[in-house]
Amino acid sequence: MPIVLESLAKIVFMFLLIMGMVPALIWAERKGAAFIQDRTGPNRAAIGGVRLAGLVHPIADVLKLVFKEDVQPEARHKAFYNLAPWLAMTIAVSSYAVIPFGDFITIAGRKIPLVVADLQVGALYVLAVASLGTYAVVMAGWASNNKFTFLGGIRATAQMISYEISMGLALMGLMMIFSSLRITDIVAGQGDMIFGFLPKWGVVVQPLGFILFITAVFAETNRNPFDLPEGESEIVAGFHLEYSSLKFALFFMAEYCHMVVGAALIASFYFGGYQIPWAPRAVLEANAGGLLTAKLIGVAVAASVFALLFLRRAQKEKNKFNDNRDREPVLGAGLWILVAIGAAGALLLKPWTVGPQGAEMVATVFQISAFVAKVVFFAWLFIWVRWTLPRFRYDQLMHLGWKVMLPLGVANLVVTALVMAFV
Amino acid sequence: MSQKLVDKLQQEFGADILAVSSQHGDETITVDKDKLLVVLNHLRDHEGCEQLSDVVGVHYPDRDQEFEVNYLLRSWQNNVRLRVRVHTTEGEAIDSATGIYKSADWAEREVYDLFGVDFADHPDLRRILCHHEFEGHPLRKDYPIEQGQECSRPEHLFNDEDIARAARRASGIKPEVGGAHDEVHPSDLLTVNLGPSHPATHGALRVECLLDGENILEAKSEIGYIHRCFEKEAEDHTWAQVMPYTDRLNYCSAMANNAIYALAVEKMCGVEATPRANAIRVIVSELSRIIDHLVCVCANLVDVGALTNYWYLYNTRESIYQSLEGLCGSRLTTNYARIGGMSHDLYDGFADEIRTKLDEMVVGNNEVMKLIARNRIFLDRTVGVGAISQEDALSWGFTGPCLRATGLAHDLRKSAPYFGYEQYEFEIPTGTDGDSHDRIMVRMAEMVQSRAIILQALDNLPDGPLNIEDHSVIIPPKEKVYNTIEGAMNQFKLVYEGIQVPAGEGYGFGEGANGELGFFCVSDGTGHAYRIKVRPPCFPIFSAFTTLVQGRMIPDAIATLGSLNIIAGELDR
Amino acid sequence: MEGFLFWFCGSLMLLGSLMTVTQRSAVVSAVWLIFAFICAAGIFALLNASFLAVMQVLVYAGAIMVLFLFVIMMLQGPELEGERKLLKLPMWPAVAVPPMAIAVMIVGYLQNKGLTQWGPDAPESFGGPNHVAELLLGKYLLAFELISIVLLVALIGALAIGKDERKLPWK
Repeated sequence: MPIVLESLAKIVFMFLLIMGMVPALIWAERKGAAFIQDRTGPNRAAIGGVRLAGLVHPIADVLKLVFKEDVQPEARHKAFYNLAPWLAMTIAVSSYAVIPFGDFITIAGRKIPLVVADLQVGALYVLAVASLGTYAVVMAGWASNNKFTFLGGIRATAQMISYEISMGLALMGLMMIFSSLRITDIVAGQGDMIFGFLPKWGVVVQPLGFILFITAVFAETNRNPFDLPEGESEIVAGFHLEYSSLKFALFFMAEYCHMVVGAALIASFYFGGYQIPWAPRAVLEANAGGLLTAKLIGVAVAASVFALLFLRRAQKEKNKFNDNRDREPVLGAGLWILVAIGAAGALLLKPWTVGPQGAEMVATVFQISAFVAKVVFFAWLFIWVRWTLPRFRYDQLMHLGWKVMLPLGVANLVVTALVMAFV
Repeated sequence: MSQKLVDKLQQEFGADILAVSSQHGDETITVDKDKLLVVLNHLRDHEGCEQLSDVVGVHYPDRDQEFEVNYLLRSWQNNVRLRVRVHTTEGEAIDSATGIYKSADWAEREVYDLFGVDFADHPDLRRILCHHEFEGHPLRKDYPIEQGQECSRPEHLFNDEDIARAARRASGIKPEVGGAHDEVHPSDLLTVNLGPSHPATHGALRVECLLDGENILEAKSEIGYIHRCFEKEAEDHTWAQVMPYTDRLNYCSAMANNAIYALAVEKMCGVEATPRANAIRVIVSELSRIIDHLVCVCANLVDVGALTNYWYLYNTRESIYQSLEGLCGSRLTTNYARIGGMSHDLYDGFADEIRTKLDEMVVGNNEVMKLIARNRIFLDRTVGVGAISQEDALSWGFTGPCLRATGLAHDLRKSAPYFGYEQYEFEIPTGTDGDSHDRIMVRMAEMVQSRAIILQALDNLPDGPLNIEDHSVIIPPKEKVYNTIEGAMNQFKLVYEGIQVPAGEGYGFGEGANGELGFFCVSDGTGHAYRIKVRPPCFPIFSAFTTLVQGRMIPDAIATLGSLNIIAGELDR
Repeated sequence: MEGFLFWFCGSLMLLGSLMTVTQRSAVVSAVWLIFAFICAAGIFALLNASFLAVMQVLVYAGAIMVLFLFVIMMLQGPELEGERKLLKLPMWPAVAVPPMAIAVMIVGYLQNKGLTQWGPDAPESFGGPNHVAELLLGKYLLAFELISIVLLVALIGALAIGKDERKLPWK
């Protein structure tokens, strides 16, 4: 039974992580787009007149979508039309099962690996689930019985088939180097060093593979420059044109889930997953007390600086609006002061004297933070690229997939094999 | 200048030229309608008249030959304009000029639609601005202006025969050049409507496409969704009252429409605006050009999926709009020019404000250029897309940036300066291939030139009166109206009876943001226009759209449409 | 647990297969077939053949059937009107099969209750990629390569049959 409980706990953790990241990403996407485009971004929705930097918008969005009328086309294929958004969401989330978000923790003497399912064929599982993602789009496109959604579905099929192959080929080089299909093995292998100073990250040993993989992942997420199945200005909104209300929300959330999955995969395969370069677990555990202390001090100092900045703004903009919005900087300052006090208070518990059990905990927390930081960075990369590049045309997309990426993938594989055989 | 051409033609054709007239600097020859094509052919092949700007119908119900059809020809190489006129009546067809000038296609359809003049051998003589169920011809004088009609059934642009023909043609395409099928069956083809409400049409247009996969085998466009019959309305209003309607033509550069309409009527009245008014018109026209180009380029970039550029460009547009609002009180519907002057002078601090805003524009445009100039995806999406050759562009009636993108440095500001454009130093940017990429780049470069013109105009803004002294044209100043009986009477007469424009006809034109914007005016000497025909630049340009996109993919069609800058307001009038 | 999962996957696979052959709409059939494939993958997974299970999903459900769907959709176009009437006809299996399948499942489960022996446990590496690779690229290398040649021949054959003879690349 403990194994079931363990799995359940891990599933819940992962699910919460994704579901927490989705609204955060939506917020980040909007604020990020606004930052790139020289505008303010969402800042109208407010709780009691306090705007919380646009963070209320995802909540408002969800509420809006839940209460919206679900308009459905008359001539839809009912079963598939209803199934598609759920399928999209399910498939987007299920990739997570094999991604390790940390090394292990020891609870009650049991060493628990921090991955939901440590499959022998984890890397292949990722590809398999990604390939199923097509069906949601195709079903939506076909079942809506609209010419534009249909074109979107067709585009999605062609695009996904083409890029899955490159994705698989790119991963194969990596699998060969770490001689395993198990993602935990691949991540663990990236903790090593080459030449004693270079972390053996996927991106270091497989730079071309990394470029191919990241391109393919972008294509799989259907985001700019690969957002052809949606193709806003061309085929109106592509496959989800006929969806509204919560069904649309599911597609929308699935896209962000895909983004998180994509970011997590890139981090795990090519950037060492939870590994912190030059600081393997043993080092982390040995210096746990010092690290924890340093981290707490760092947090306290940073939070104080933020609090001061907010206070300065509060003083400067005292009567800017003459309503509750004037309290925003004060609230911000209060929040950061609380954080600073919390961190400083934790220092009173003498973190430098942490025991071996605690040291392991600290190491795990550091590793999970490293993983989350990497995921956040790549999620930001997704946003950054989306707001920078134009969209491909269908034939150019096919050209890139089949005539550029596929040969490069094969070449990468051959070169990797040769190097492994003779060096 | 064109007098020489008329003399030559008289020698060539002798008695076939029924009459010659000259008014307001425009020469008109009236020819027998059987000889029309011969004359047009001669003019195109031997006299360098490459372009048919427009075809204008006028209805005179009292005459035997009640319809007058004017062919407005232009020779860019010789910088000559000529009007060829034929007379006809109900039931007598004129030979269609579509074989000589491609722009005649839509232009003749428009005359057919609005006047009911028949054109023999026209390939596709259907209604164009009015709905296909519409009965009667609205611009005939006997069509009552208040008579509405209810038209509701949509029109299918492709019939089974068209689809079968397209399928046969697609079957003939070899696989090496993109044909994927051995045989295309008509049922393999998909008809898709782009528009009338589609994110990329930026207005109510409709293009029905026959698709094989994503390839457009054939496309047909339908316009008229926001046809308001501007020309019929103009006949019902005094000359001055038409001014606000011109805002609604090209609503992206309303100020330029105002100014050019004022120029056209001033030409008819034989007056000339004061230097200060001209300088202000130059400034607002160029500002309009800048905002129009900004809209066009940013929308075009959004259409190819590059969203961020939108804001870099739109921020400038927004700040310029604020200045324009300061000038005239509104953003889109400006109504700023007056016949004989302007409604207001510039406000204090306008010059400095515009200078800073233009500097900001340069910053924003440079940011965009950084994002797109060497961007491989952008280049792949636009280079060679929607390309048109110089000859075709001229024949289709292209003017403005779309013509200059093909490499022809034709600009009315240089070739027929108005508003004193000859005083300003600027260059005419040109492209090479006439594709979407060149059109975007020409527009980007034109904004820089417009900035240069505005800066010169602001630096050398002439002092002196804003409006002309001739109060048969422009209402007197308010203190005279309120304090003297003459002034009050003058204002009363001008407002109620309108400006008494001398009988005759004239064509006032200028370089609008999209190309040649012209107003062909006919006056019968009363305070109301007898006929005003707008020559909107994007009408002929859009008529070429379907030929530009046939055989290409949907995304190409979208990128092309964006770069042509079709403004439904002036397209449909 | 394993017994339950076996009967669960098995009966669903049966349902999927039945629906595949009874549906009139090609698209719906294809989707049921995908469903059956995924159930088959479940059974492979239960047999400890994880590599095979993932391959079943990746290759059959994920790649081949996507192509099938692509082709079917391309040929058929987005018009549903004609087939919607037909859809109503063979709905009886959809109604009949699930209860039957559940019944079979329950009976099977009850019968197996006394049966504790599921055969010897396979070693952990069984059915994994290494194991499969050793067999395919070692013991059965010749057969494996021969099959790939057969597939290539079939591919060329399909090309020759499907294409207009005059347009074949070697003509």
